[in-house]
Amino acid sequence: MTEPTSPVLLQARDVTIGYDGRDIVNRLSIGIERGRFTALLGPNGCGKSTLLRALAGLLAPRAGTISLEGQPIAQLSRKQLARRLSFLPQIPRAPDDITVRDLVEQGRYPHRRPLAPWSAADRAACTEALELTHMVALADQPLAALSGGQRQRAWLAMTLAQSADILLLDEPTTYLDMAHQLELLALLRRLVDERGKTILAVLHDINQAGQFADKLALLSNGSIAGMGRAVDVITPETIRTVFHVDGMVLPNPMAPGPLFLPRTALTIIDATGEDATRS
Amino acid sequence: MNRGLALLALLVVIAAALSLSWGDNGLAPQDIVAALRGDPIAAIILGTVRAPRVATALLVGACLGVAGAITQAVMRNPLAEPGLLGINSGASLGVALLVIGAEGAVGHLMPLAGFAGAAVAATAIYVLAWRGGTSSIRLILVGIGIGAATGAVTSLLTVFGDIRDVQRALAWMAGSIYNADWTKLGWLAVWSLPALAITWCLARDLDLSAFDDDVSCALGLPLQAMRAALIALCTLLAGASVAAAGPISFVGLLAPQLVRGLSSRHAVRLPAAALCGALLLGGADLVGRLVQLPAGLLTPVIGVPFVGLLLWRRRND
Repeated sequence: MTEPTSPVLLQARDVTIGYDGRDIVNRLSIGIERGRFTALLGPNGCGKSTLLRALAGLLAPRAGTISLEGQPIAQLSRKQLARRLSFLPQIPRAPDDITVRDLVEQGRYPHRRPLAPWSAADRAACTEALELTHMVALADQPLAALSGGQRQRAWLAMTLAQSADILLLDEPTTYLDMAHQLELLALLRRLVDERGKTILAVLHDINQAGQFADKLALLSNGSIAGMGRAVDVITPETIRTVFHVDGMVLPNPMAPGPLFLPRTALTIIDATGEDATRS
Repeated sequence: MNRGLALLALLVVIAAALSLSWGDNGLAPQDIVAALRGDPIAAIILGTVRAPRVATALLVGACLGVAGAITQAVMRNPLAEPGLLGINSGASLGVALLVIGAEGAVGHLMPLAGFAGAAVAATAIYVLAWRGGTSSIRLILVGIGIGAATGAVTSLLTVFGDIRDVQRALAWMAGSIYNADWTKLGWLAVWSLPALAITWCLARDLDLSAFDDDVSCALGLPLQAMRAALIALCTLLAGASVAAAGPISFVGLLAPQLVRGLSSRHAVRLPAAALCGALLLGGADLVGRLVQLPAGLLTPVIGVPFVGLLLWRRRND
């Protein structure tokens, strides 16, 4: 592979994104670097999922452009985009009687021409995706019969079978217990280190993000409140501003990098009982 | 997996053979062979009465089965059926308007009026459900609304229409294939065979349509265009069936339901639903001839208990 001139693979420039006339993300710019694991963090309702859907081309920004290697994604067809970029929503839904293998094989859709038979490349991509996610033994099980963690891995396998170089994942660790969370994050790390994938994942645990991701992007009220390496971003001030949580930052005794220890939430409940932290 | 398809195909052949030999004038297998060799009496019974009827029943059943499989994938609901797209109610209204509203002999125009009514109702549902794109649930809700509205207008027409016209319209609405002939079958084939072939080519897109919007779009499915194309195909198939046989209920719901277990792939499900639909309607027509009832009145006899069973099985969902 030749060394790219720009490290930024996927870029949003001055994007404003919203639903039904209400702007959720405001004039935001972010560059996702090639071959890096970027974690997107922020309080509930700050626009993480909205931004991710726009980056995946599922939601057209009302202003600004999103480009993939300099080319606006609006100019690409759905299939062209799907060959380069895969997206896993927070709660994906499938027909309830589908098996893991059938689900994973759907990942090959953007690569197949109409009526073309199942190719060796298709088979190889699916087998590899099942192996990477340790789903080979469960391949013939119906999706509905799996546990939450297994189901998440099945969906990730489908996303991997898509063979795109960019993976956008919306809260892939939600609903997983601690062991499965760590296992999934380690897998994402390996995909970046060994396969050169570019990953942008919405995460909730800032310490996990600091431990596994190369870069952290903090989103607050629809704009970027901080982006960079964990040591630069995880500071008591930033976390107080973005998450409204008071705490302290310690050096992580087990790994290089910081560790945030929360003390208390600075949530203000006003007279109406409304949560006023985000106003 | 393909054993299921083979079994269904075998059952369809058996049903067709029974249907060809059963009637007021029984035909033994050797009579059928005689007809093929040129025996005039057997040839008339077989060639002008039974064969077109059996072929129509099988083809209409197959169309309804495939139309049902499309509806269940597009609406993402295993209990959806082409009737939700206004096909049956629209066709009934079209025929009621023609028979009750127009003067003179209009019997030959009934298939056309049925098809037009079905197409108009399906288009209306699609357009009314459009809000910068369609969604499965909006299609279902608007479909129920349009179905109720067209049903009400049809009832109104039957209240005020001339009693003989009303009777003819109602007889058509019962759904039957007793007056099938080669010409009608030819028209049905011209409309439906290309639609069946195109639908089969879109099997993979149908697989993805059953996922949620974000997943299918992120995998590269041009969702809105595909949904419009699939609804158009469904309208064509179900509309052609209703033009040929009148509104036949439950086959579009039952056939894809019964074969769901064979595979989650539409490449298998579509032919299976077609065979199962053919079997159901072929069987209903055969039984209907025994008890002197139109096939359209018999399909609910199997359909209603089956839906009850489905709901009972899903009671804990």
